Amino acid sequence: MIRVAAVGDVHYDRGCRNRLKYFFEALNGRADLLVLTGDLTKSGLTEEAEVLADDLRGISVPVVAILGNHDYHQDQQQQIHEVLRAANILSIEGDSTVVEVHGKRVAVVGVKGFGGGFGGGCCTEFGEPETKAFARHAKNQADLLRECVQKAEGDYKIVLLHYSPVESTLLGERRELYPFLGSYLLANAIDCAGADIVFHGHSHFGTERGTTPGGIPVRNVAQMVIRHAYNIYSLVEAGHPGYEDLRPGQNHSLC
Amino acid sequence: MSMRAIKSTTESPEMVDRFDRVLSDAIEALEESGIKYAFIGGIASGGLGRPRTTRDIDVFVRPEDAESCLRALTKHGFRTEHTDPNWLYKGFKENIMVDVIFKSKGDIYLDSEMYQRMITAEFHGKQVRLVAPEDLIIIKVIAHGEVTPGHWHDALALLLHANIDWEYLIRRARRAPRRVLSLLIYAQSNDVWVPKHAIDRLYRIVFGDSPPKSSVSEAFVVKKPQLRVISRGKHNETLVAKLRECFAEDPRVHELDIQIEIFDNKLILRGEVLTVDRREAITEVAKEVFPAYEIENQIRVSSLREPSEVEEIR
Repeated sequence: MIRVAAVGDVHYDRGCRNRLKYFFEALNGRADLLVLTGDLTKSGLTEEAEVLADDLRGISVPVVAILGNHDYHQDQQQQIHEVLRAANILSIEGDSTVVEVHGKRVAVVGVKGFGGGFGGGCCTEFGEPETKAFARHAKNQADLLRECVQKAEGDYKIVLLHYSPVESTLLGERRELYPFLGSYLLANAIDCAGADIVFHGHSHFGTERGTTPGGIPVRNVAQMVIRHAYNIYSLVEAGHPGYEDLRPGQNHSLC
Repeated sequence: MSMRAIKSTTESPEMVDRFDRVLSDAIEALEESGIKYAFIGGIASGGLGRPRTTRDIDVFVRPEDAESCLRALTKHGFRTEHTDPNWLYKGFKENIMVDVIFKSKGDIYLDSEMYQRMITAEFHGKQVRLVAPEDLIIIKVIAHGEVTPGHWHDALALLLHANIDWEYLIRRARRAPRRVLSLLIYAQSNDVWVPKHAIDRLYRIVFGDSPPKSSVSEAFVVKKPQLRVISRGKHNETLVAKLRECFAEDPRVHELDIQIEIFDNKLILRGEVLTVDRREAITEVAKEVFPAYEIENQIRVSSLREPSEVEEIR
């Protein structure tokens, strides 16, 4: 059993010093790992990431973070990764990391993801170059995600996304926004590769709980949604199977 | 908006508790969704007119918000159904029914004037948004019929107990002037005070001052072409979109979730942000973009806690 604290969309700016510091410190002993699902900053400035990194210094459990669209706003995403890494935060993108918890290996995969929409309302690679670029980025992110989850090795597999892989955790958002909030391709990638749980943020008016079509639990941990400093999830059993584990060698048509 | 206390509208203590609980959930869902809404039906009648029993919660919304309203209720644990796509959806929780009405009988919609006239009242310690008594009177007299005589008497009770703006009532009565005129005369016959000028003016609206001047059928009258102007509603939509863009892009703000409403010269901002500074920055940006508007910043600053429980994932 491992306990994972998760939160997204903390949107730090220079005025946020100490906003979450004491909550983060209170985490010691209550959780084995903290994951942050992107939109760590308000405007994508390194100074904002520094304030968050400072607030995370007193925490003794491993912290794994990905970035969200806000963190890309100033094209300083690489510098933000560096600021966080300098503070011992495992800041990843299109990659995975393994942390040891009670002798178990926990693989955490982190990919930002993108929009594109869900069944019945998806963007496709057709038409103007701008539309094609939008659809292609969504597809590339899903391919990258699938590759990362398949490659990751651990007793537990946790997936961090910024955008949502499912519609169910968007309930409460305006439907017109769905194509900017997530993509079904992400859920398909995870279902094919298998994982224990998926955390995402980005959708402030959505709902916490959902599942992928393959049955993997999805939690929207955007701070506006969970309305706590973070939520804590206890993963009881390891090794949630994906389509390929359920029907080996069948080259599942969706994968 | 004026304030007044609402008398209890339900029966047994168990029922009152349950009703309050569900009403509270409904208010939370509606407030969180940010849609425009006001309570009508029993809650409004009880609050503005006579205390009376009510077992359901009637919410009046704009047709374009009906779906969002239903989704907000679903999110807060209500079972919901698209009862009639012409005017009514429903939500249910703990045997209490929420009617989501988006077109009342006689083609009455929640329009912008009704929304601005809305009042806030306290109900068992909670703030509830109600339509103004004049609007409720119009809704009631139109809804009244053989199987629903209660509406007529609700309307009479409103004339008796509520503080009526007669100007506004007469203006809004254009939807059903004969009905409203009948109600006012009937009210007088029941010793409910109604000013004579209100009856006179409605009478003139219905029957005119003198016989029609022309006997030419309207079909033969060529109408003067009218200048096309952007309607106020469309203009406001553009202003809202413009301000939303500024909130997203201005480095002081970068907020994508602020709800914006425009009435005449007033901007109302709703939603939630993480810090007081950001709340202030929003007012600052709004003032710069629309210096001529009065800004009412109703944005809340969120407060956080540690989670009290751990969710087990199996």
